[in-house]
Amino acid sequence: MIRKYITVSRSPTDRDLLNVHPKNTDALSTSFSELQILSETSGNYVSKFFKDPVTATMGGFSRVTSFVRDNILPSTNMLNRPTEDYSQIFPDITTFKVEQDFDLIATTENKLADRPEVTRSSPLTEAEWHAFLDGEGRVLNVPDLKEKIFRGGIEPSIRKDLWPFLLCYYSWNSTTKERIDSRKHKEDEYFGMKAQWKTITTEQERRFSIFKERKNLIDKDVIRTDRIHPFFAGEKNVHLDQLFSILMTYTQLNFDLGYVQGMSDILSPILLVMEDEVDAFWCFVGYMDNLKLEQNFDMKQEGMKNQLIQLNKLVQVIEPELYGFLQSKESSNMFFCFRWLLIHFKREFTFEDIMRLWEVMWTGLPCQNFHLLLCLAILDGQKRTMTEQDLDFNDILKYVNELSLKLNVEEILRNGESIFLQLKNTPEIPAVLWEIVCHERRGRIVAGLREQHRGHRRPGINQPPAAAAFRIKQVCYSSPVYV
Amino acid sequence: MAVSKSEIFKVIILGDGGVGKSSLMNRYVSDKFDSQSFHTIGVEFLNKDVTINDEKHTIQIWDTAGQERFKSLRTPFYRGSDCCILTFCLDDKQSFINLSMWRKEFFYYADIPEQSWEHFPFILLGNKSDISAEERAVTEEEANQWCQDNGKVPYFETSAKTAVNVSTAFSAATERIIRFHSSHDDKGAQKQVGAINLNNKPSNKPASSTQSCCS
Repeated sequence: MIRKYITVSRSPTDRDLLNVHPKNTDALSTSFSELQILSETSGNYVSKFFKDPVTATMGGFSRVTSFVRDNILPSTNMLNRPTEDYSQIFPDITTFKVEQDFDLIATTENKLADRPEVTRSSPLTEAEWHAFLDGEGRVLNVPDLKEKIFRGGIEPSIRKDLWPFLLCYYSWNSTTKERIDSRKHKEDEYFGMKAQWKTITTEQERRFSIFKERKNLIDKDVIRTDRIHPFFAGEKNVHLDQLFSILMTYTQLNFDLGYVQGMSDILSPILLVMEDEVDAFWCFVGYMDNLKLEQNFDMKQEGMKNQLIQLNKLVQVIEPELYGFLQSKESSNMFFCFRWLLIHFKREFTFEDIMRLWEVMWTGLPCQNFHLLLCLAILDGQKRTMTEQDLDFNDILKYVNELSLKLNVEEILRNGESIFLQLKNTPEIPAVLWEIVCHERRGRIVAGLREQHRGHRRPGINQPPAAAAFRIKQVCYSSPVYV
Repeated sequence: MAVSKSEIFKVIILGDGGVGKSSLMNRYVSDKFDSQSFHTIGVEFLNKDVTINDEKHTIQIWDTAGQERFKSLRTPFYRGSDCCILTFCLDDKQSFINLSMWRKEFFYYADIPEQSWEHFPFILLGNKSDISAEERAVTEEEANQWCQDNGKVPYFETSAKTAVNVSTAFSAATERIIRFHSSHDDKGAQKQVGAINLNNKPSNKPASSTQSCCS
């Protein structure tokens, strides 16, 4: 398989480093150029990555920064042809013609393990929560707490206490006193930033088009966000002002990113739970920064495109029949999942359900990119109708858009975990999938898989298997459910 | 060639965020208006069956997120459009100023050759005509002038809220499409009804269909 294309040898200078040498660069670059996933300019990125992963990765990061900087002013000249070719804007991987013995395709023929039945449990109660705290308010046994939340969510009455931890606003090992102090500091910081935009005069605004444009858009979106919910309903609702202020202040904190449509959707449940402008702001910031939701909103939508590609790969292996159907309908670009991904299913569920789904997702369990497995879980429930009705490209888009508020959150969560366990229990899982669901650097690794995939290691990610196995036990599955 | 009875007319609504694209679509298709509706994420479309001159047509109206950021995920849907409805909001001058940008974006990504620009079915809508005179930021004269300067585009002042002029505007769009099709005999034959190929490059499109009849 992949050994045909690369040789792997241990670095003489660093025993944790595996050197990867391509044997036949032409074959690799040919097969990757056929993918047509990336733009012309970044098309070589994949082969660059193979030749020099570190430089390519860091180069990639630096490009992100520079394109945010370079593109902060929207292009006014539409006739400036974009560098991406039209065909590559959509990562249609109908053209994902990987050579036959390359692992992705090969393993789609492999039998995947069965999907086990999973059960979910009741939400974390107040009493249970208090039992996790020591005398000074530190959270003891965070892995067990996360596991509990992953299994059942959180009772609504204590969401306000837990969400700041899950969203990295409070650190787990802080004491109650430290949190009070930190909050005071965060409050000052928030109002400092808020004052920055609040004090921009009309005269300034007149000559500050980016500011004006953002302000207008936030204004227009806030009044179109969850107005059916009692918390945001009615004229002159103070919560709308809070949504507005938080989003405006966020653009001060992250001026390069600015305001992007979808952010108000993310913020509204957070504000509803936190009930306080400052706390909601920092929880929102935590979601964007620490939980990496920011990638969904980047200027060139690379984060979204990348997730569509990842989803494509997952469907290809886990749901080959559905994949074939989507391919035949030119829908394997997975674009119809765009809204799910952009705002983490916010428009697909009721308020109560989305809060449950999010808090489960925020635990980081059972693997990274669990939201992609949730997409698969939803599709699994719909694939029969979609194929039986022989929906075409347009109909698939329409059908999926109209699933909004018709989905059962507990069923989706069960099914998502079940798919995860299926992957976990499959002995020969393709490396390409492995990288999507495993967070190798943090060592959150699907238990039991590592040993079988030493040879498939992504170049540049270097870890002796023993250390990896250790981490599996330590970090990943503290619960007896998985180990 | 006469337009085939089952033909779908693809109409795309473009314009700045918040000008009322989704509201116009919903008013026309379902005759409903919800002032508290969500802003569009991604791409949506609705179908409406209409009968014109005893022939049945399906108007397929595509609605997209208007923010610049989503351009790369929006523009693939422009291809194969039979009509483009440009929309601005009567109380928002900037949305009017941006019309030319939207028009160019449409032409570029729908891959309409420059020589056809003048003939391609466009409609201009100034929405929210229910606002008071004081709130108005764009005059009818300005809008008409823009239409004159951009290939004699028909202009309607609409209100998705009160339903004023909405169905009139869509009917005008449909008529423009039919006229355009009947004057471009071979177009119907070459057009793949309702199909979008997200993968083809613009250059792959058989450009001759539009070029030949307008030269």
